[in-house]
Amino acid sequence: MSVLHEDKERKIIPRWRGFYTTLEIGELYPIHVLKKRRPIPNDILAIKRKEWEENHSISFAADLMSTGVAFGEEDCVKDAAEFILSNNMRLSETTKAIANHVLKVKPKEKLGDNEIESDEFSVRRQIHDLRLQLYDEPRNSFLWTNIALLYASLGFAEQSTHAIEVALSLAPQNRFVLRSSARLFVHIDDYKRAHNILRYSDNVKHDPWLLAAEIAVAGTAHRTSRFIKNAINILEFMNFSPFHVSELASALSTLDFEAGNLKHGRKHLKMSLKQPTENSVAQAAWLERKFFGVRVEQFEKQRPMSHEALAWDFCRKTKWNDTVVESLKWLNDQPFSSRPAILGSYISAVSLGEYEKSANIAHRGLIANPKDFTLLNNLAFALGHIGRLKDAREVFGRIRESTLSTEEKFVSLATKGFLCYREGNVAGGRKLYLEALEKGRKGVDEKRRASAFLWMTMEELRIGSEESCKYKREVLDFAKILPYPDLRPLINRVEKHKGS
Amino acid sequence: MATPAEELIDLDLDGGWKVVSKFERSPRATGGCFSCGYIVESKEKGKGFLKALDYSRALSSPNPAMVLQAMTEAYNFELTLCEKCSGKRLKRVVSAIGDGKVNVRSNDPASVVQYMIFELADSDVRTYIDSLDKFDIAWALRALHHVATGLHELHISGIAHQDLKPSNVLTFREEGSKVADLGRAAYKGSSGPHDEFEIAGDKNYAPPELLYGYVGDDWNLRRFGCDAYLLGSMVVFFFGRGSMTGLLFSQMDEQYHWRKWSGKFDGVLPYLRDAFGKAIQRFSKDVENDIREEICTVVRQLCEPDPRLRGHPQNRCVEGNQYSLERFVSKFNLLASKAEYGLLGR
Repeated sequence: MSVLHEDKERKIIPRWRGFYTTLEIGELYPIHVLKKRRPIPNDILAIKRKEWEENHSISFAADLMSTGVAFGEEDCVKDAAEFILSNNMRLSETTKAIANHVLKVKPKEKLGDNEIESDEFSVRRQIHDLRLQLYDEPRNSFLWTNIALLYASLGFAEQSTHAIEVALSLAPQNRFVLRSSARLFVHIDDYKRAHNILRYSDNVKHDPWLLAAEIAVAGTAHRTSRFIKNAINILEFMNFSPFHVSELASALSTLDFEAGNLKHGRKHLKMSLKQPTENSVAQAAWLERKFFGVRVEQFEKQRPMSHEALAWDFCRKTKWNDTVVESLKWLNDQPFSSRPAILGSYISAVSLGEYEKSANIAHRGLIANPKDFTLLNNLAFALGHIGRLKDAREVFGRIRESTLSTEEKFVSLATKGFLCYREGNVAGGRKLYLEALEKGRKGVDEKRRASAFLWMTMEELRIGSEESCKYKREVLDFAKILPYPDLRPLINRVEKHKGS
Repeated sequence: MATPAEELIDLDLDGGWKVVSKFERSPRATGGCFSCGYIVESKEKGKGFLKALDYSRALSSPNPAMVLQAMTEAYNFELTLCEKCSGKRLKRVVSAIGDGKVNVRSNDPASVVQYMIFELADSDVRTYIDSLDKFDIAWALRALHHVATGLHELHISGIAHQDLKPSNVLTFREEGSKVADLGRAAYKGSSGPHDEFEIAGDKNYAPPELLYGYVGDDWNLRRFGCDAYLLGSMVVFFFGRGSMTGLLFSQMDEQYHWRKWSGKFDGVLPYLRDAFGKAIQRFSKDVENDIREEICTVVRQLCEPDPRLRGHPQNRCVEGNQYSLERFVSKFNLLASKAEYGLLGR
């Protein structure tokens, strides 16, 4: 099993959700709205009302109601809407939709709402529905962005890229399309393209949402943003709502902390948490963990959809069940991301000993990230534990050894040993584990080595080998003093295991 | 005290017309704050609708000189357009069958009232639809064919109506439907009294680009493009009773409403397009299965939120007027004929 490590780096890369969810959160609202609404001719509503009162029929009521909606004066035409809805006999869908809007009645089904559902089958069904919708609305950039998200969540990078390219060509300056595109290109490791899309957009200098994304993606692409001064100006001189600048302040605070400028970092972090987005909360929580000196009073971790921040918070507090619940929610929210699946599958296996659950989570993470080493390894490991050895071998065989780092090679060798144990090849398993531990003395951290040793000991204890007591003694001496709370349940299991 | 324009009953007018009764404002009234309506009769021409200009109401306005000038310009412009239409024998446009002036009080030279006489309709489409027990699809399609023909006739004469709405579509027992009221029209190549208005017609029916202040330099885009949208909105009215503009804004978050939006039209366009997609989904449920696909396609093409892409796609591939309604006239004619012969769905 791979070992859990806190993200070394975290940038406030935009979240990518379905259009309607993003709209509901408020991320897409205009940063400038007219303080005083545009005037309307004051006699039209009165004339329409008079006509309706004289005729008192559906057509005249619908005319008055449509006028009210077109003018944004819904409160003035509520009686006409009520009249229409009470007249069931001759009610058209058009007038019903307008009347429901006037009376703020939400329709039972959300039309065109193609938010991500969790399982693969629903995602495929949603893609099917969206394709049909796109046949009728080929110029709807939001539908193209939504379908790109669905493709990405299934791991179809090519189709997803094509869809986002269409969306970009249709709405090259739209905030939702630009931020989603940047997120997709970060996901498929095309950092420079992600950055170029943002930095060459017309609105990047003035739109705090685009600017925040640009600064974050520039960092991921190992570039320096050209717009830092614009960002500081926006924060200091522009009177935007705290919600609109939350991510921008968060991006700047990350830069400040990384540069060791704690004073400015704290100031910007505080600004980012005035009315934060979920992503700003997660970033603040990461900064708190990463830079021990950071203390921002009262993190608002209970923001809607703050699953990432909550998952890490529960993990730190060793609340393993809650960690898994939140990581699953995080995975539902960002289905193309590997991080929630890695956290959930790891905690389920190591801290809770729930291998079936671990396998399910890793499997879901692999849908969008079929080549992710950690997830492949975690899945093979969990499948081995629940006796599905053939599947475990097949999954393990998908790992491409040549692309692995030293640490990943170490983990891979250990998992290979574990599978040998489970297949009954005790000598082979032991040999591979010991080989891994020997090779890992250089270049592999203590936590990974401890974890491998613990799992090997578990296998020895399970089969009741002669060496099991010796290994148990050695590993407990080594591991007991280690400061890794997530390994503690595993250590306890080894300690309590009496051997076969 | 009644104004001269309100005292025309029983008067004899030029051309053998006699004022019979007052026409109550409601059925065809919007915008006519400075005019009065009457039913007139002539032995030769039968009944007619008289629109009398009420100068005295203008005199009581805050800026009488300006209002009087605007009224006179508008009257003269409408009269000129009506004459042009009469000359071209437009079948589907309500024509002016007389005009003139009458001195209401013989000893008062300030009581002169100018008027125009139009064909008298049975009702407007709102009243007619409400009077039906059951929606008559063949009638609706034929009426749409007539409206599209009326607009097309105007367009090929270089006139953009700009104020097409249910109250301006009149129904005649024998002749079917006709487009009325050229009071807000524009004539290509000459200036009109409403040219400087961003929105010449009723704002509550106006296409979104005009509401968001996207006017553009292209006369065709601004005027004919507006008419195309209004025709699409009429289709929505016939089948769904609402206006496309009302339906569109009911499907959009209020943050992007034209009265609040401070950005450019292109910035709001993706949101409009998404709302438009949902509006069409809603509207499609009001159309019978047999013609749903065709009617929704027509509305999509006519009410396309981006005026640069509005109109029949094949019109955009050839030189000429992108907003030409000829293909839509044929489409409505075909659908109406099918409905009349009971061939829909075959």
